[in-house]
Amino acid sequence: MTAPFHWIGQRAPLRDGRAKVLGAVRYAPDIKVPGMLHARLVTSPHAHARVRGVETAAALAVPGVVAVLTAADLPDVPARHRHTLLLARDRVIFAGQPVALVLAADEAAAEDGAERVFVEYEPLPAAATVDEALAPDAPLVWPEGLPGETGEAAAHGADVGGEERPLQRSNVANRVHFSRGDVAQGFREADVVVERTFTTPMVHQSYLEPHAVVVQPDPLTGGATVWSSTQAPFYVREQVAAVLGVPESDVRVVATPVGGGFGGKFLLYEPLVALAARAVGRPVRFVMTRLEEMIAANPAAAGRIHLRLGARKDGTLTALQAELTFDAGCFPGAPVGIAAVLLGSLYTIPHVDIRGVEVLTFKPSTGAYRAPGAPQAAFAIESALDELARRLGADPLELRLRHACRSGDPMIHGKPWPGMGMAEVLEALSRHPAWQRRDDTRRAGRGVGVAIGGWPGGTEPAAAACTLNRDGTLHVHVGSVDLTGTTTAFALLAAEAFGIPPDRVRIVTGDTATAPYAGATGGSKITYTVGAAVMQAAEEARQQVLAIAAEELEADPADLEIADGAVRVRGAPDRAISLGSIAAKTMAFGGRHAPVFGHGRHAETTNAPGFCAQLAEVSVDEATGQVRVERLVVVQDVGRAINPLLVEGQMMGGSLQGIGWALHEALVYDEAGQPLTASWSDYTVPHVSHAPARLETVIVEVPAEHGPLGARGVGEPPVIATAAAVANAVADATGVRLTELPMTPPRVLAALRARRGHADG
Amino acid sequence: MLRLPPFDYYAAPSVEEAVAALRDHGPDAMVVAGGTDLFPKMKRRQMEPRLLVGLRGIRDLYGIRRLEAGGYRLGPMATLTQVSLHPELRAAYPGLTHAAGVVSSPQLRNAGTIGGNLCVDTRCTYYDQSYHWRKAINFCMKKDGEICWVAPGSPRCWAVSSSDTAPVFVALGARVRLVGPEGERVIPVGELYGRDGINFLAGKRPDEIITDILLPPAEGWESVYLKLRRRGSFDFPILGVAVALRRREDGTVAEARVVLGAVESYPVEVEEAAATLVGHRLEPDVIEAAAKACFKPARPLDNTDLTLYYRKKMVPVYVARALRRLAGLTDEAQRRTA
Ligand SMILES: Cc1cc2nc3c(=O)[nH]c(=O)nc-3n(C[C@H](O)[C@H](O)[C@H](O)COP(=O)(O)OP(=O)(O)OC[C@H]3O[C@@H](n4cnc5c(N)ncnc54)[C@H](O)[C@@H]3O)c2cc1C
Repeated sequence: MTAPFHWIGQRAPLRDGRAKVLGAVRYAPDIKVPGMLHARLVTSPHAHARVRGVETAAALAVPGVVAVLTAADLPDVPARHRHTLLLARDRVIFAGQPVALVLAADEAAAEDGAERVFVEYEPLPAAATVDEALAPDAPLVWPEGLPGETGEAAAHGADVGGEERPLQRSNVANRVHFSRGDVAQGFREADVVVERTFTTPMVHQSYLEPHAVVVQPDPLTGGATVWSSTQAPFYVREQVAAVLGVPESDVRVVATPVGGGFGGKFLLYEPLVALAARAVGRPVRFVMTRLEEMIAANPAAAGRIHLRLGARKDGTLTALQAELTFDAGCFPGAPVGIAAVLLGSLYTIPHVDIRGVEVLTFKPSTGAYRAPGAPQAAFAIESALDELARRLGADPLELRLRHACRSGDPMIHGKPWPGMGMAEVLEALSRHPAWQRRDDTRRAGRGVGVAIGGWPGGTEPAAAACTLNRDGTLHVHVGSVDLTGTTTAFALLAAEAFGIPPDRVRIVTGDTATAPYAGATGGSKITYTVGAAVMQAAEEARQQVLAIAAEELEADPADLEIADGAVRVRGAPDRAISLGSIAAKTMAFGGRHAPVFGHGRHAETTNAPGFCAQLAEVSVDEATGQVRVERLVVVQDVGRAINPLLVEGQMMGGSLQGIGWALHEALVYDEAGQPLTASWSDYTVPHVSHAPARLETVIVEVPAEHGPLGARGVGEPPVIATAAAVANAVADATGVRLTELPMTPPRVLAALRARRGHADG
Repeated sequence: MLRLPPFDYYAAPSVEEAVAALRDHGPDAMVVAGGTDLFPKMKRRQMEPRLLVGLRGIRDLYGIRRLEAGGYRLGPMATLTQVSLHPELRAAYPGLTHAAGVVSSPQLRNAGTIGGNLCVDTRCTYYDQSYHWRKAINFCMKKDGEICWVAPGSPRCWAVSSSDTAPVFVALGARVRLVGPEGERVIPVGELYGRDGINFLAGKRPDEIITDILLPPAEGWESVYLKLRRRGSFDFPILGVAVALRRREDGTVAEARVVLGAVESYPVEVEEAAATLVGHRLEPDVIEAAAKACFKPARPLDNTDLTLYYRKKMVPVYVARALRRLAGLTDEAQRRTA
C-alpha cells in the first residue's frame, strides 16, 4: 500500500471522545457487581517499623464492616515484587505501606473501619535519601537479601542482566557499567570540560483516575474475574493467577478504559484485592483515594547524575563520564540502566565511561513514568552540552547535529541504533522560525533554549482479527489498552487496508479471555506492533472478501475493487456485490462461503526509536525567580503520522508534563521518610494556565522500516527534552545554570543571587 | 474518599435563631457558609463540630448595596465571584475585587463567601494534612497535639493567616457588624484577629455571626492587592500585599495603609511603611523605602509553600510592585539585570 492514502494522515477525532465528554464511559470505579464489598487500606504512618500487633475488634464493630484482613489471613507469598508485598507481615518499609485491609458493605463503612484499626508499631531508623541509604551503618531495606534473590544468588552476588551485583548486604540493588575507549585519554584531549551534578526528584504520574480494581472470585475454579484500570491486562492475569495458585486460564482480566496511566498502572494492588475477594468469597472493589495515590502507589524514581563532558576547542566531543545514582524506593526497578544507555548513546563520543547505581530507600517503590529514565538523563546531558556550547562559543544546535548518532551508529551497549531520525529532527528545529529569529526573541528579553530526547521504543508480539458484518461494517478485534488514541489509529489502518471508510470500522477491545494477545500499553509500542497486526488482519479479510466476490460475480479477483461499500468489477460498475451481502452469504443456513475472518500476527523485534527536540522561550522575573515558558516548539519524528490530530495531542500533552518536571513537581519527604506532598494541594501539577501561550508542534516523518506504513512510537518522546530545553532557556536569559529540578522560584532566585554575588566580588 | 464525620445540620431561618443555636450548643457548634474551608477541614478531622448552623437560608445575609452615607455594605453570604465581578466595587475598590477574584479556583469562588473568607482558618504545613498524616507525627498543638512543629518550644501556634481579602479589608479600613446573644457591635476588620494561630479570630466570640461587612466611602482612595503563590490558580497565598492610599492633588500621599497577608497569624499592618509614604509622591526612592520598611515586620516561618527565606525576600519586592502599580510605573523586573 502506498501513498496517496484515503484515510491515513487525516485528522480523526478521538473515537471515544464524545462518550468521554458526555460522561458515558464506564471506568473501573463505575463497575458494580452484586454483593460487592468495598475495601480501604490501613497504611503505615512510619517509614520503617516493626509491626507488633494489629487490633481489629473496634473496626469489626463498625456497622457494615464485614472483615478486616491482615497478613495472617493471606497466603505467605514471597515479596519478590512490589505487587506481592500484599499486607505487612512483621515490618513496614515505607510510610503508606498497607498493613490491613478493611472490607465493608459501603465505602463509608470501610473508611470508618480503617480509622478504627489500631496497629502497634515499634519505629525503627529509616534511610530516606540515597546518601543515608549508602552510609556504611545504614538500616537495610532488605536485611535478608534483595527481593527475588535466591539465597545462593544473593550469596554469590550473581549477575542478573546488570553488570555487577553487590557482594555484601547493602541498599544497593543494582549496578550498571558501560564504557567505550579510554575516558582518561578523552579528557586529556579536551580543552574544555563541563562538570556538573544534576538532580531530578521523585515525581508522580498524576493520572486523574486513581488505581481502581474490582475482583469477582470464582468459587468453582478458585480463579477470578478482574476489572482493572490497567495498562497491562495480560500481565495482571499472569500475576493474579500466580498469587491465587491457579492456571492463568482461570483468571479473566477486563481492562477498563484507563483515565490516565502514564506508566503508573501496570500492576499494583490487583493481587492483594484478588486474595481478599477469595478470602471472603465475595466481589471486592478497591478504588484508591488521592492520599493513597500520593503515598502508596509507584511514582517515578529520583535521579542524581554527576557528569563530565569534554571537547576540543574546535567543538569535537572527546569524553563523557557519568555516575548515575537512582533512588528506587523500597524495591529494585528504577530505570538507571535505560538512563545510562540513553545518556551514553545520543552522541558520537570516542571515550565514554558511565556507571549507574540503583539504591533502595524507605519510600514507596518506583514504577514507570512516560519514558522512564529518559527525562532524568536528558536533563543532565542536554544541559551539559548546552553549557559546553556556550563555553566554546558554538551554536548549540550545530554542536548537536555534528555529533548526533545516526542509524547504525553503535549505542553505548554496543548494539547499533535502528533506523531513526535524530538528525532530521534537529535539522527541522534549526529551520523553525523560532530558532531562526532567536536573536529577536533575546532582544525582547527572553531566553531561548533547545534540547533533544530520544526513546528506543518497545516491541512485543501481538495479534488481531477482522470480521465482516451483514451491515457491511468491519469489526477489528484487539487486546490492547488504548491510552493515546490507538483505537482511532487502528480504525484508520484497517480502513485503509480493507478499503472502506473508518466510520465503517469498529474496534472491539476484548479481555484476556476473548482477545488476541497484545502486550502492555507502554514503551510507545501499540501502534507499532498491534497496528501492524491490524493491517495484516484487514488485508487478509480483504482477500477473503475478494475471493468470495470473484466467485459470486464470476470474475477474476485481480479485476475487482472495493469501493462504496461494495466489491465491483473494475470498469463495469453494474457488476457489483455489496459487502453486506457478502457477509450475509457467509452467515446463512446452508451457505457455501466460510465467514470472513482475517487474522494478523506480528512479532517484530527491531525497535523504532522516536526523537523529539524542543525549543523553549522563557521569561525570567529576576526579582522573584519566577520562570514562565512563553513558547514551546515540539519537533518529533513519528515515522508516519497516521492521525496527525492525536499525534499532536501526544506531543502537546507530553511536553506539558515536561513543564511539570521542569518547574513544578516533586514528591518531598522529610528526614524520617514522611511524605510532605500527600495531596494535590501540596504536590503541584501544572495547570492549564502554565501551558505556554504558544505551543507549536512540528511533525517529522522518517519512516520506521518495520512500522505500519512507517509509523513509530509517539507517546513517550515528547516528555523527555522539555526540562532541559527550559533550563537551557533560563541559562540563555540569565547566564545562570539550574541543575536541580524542579526549577522553583526560590532555587532560581538563589542562583541569580549567587551570580550577582560572583559578579560583585 | 475522605469521609465527613457525623454531624447535625441546622438550616437557620434567621440571624436570631442562628445565634441562639450557637449559644445553646457552645463549642460543639459552628457556622457554615459556603463550606469550602470547613468541609475539607472536617474531612481531615481538623474540625469536628457536632452541629453545623447553616446560613444559606438567611436572606438578610446576602447582597451588595451602596449605603446612603457613602460606602458599601456587603452581605457576608455574597460569593467571592459576586464580589469580584461587581462593577461598582471593581471601580471603587479594585484591590478588594482583585483579591476576591484570585482566591483558589473559579469553582470554589462560586461557592465560597466573602464572610467565610474573613474567617478562613489559619494554615500550616503540619496542620493542613490528612488525619493519617497528622497522626503519624503525633499531631500538633493546633489540633489534637501538644507541640508546635514549626517552632518547637513555642508557647503559641504559628499557623498563617491565609485570607486573600482580609488584608485588603484592613487596608481599606472596613468594619464588620457582629451579632451575638448579647446584641450587636461594629468593629474594624483588623480587630477580628488575635495574635495566635489557634485563636486567630480572638476579636469575635464563637457565638457571634458576621452579618455585615461595611466599606467606607472610596472617594479619593486607591487600592491594590498582589498575591504570591506557586501557581496562578488553586493555591492559597503565601504572601499577600494590600495597599490603600489617598493622594492629594499635587500627588503627595495624604493617607496610606500597607497590610501584609500570610506572614503571620493575622494580617500585619506596617505603619512604618505607611509613614514613609505620607507627604511624598510615589517616586522610586519613596517606594523603595516603604518596601524596605516591610522587610522586618514580616516574619514568615517555615510552614507554608516555598522556603521561608524566599517568602521574606519577596515581601519588599511585592510591596514595591504594588506601589509601582499605583504610581503607574512598570515593574522593575522589566529591567534586565544581566
Ligand atoms: C483548594 C482550596 C483552595 C483555596 N484557596 C484559597 C485562597 O487562595 N485564598 C483564600 O483566601 N482562601 C482559599 N480557600 C479557602 C476558602 O475557599 C475561602 O477562604 C472561602 O472564602 C471560604 O468561604 P466559605 O463561605 O466557603 O466558608 P466556610 O467554609 O463556610 O466557613 C469558613 C469559616 O468561616 C466561618 N464563617 C463563615 N461565615 C461566617 C459568618 N457570616 N459569621 C461568622 N463566621 C462565619 C465558619 O464557621 C468557618 O469557620 C481555599 C480552599 C480550598 C479548598
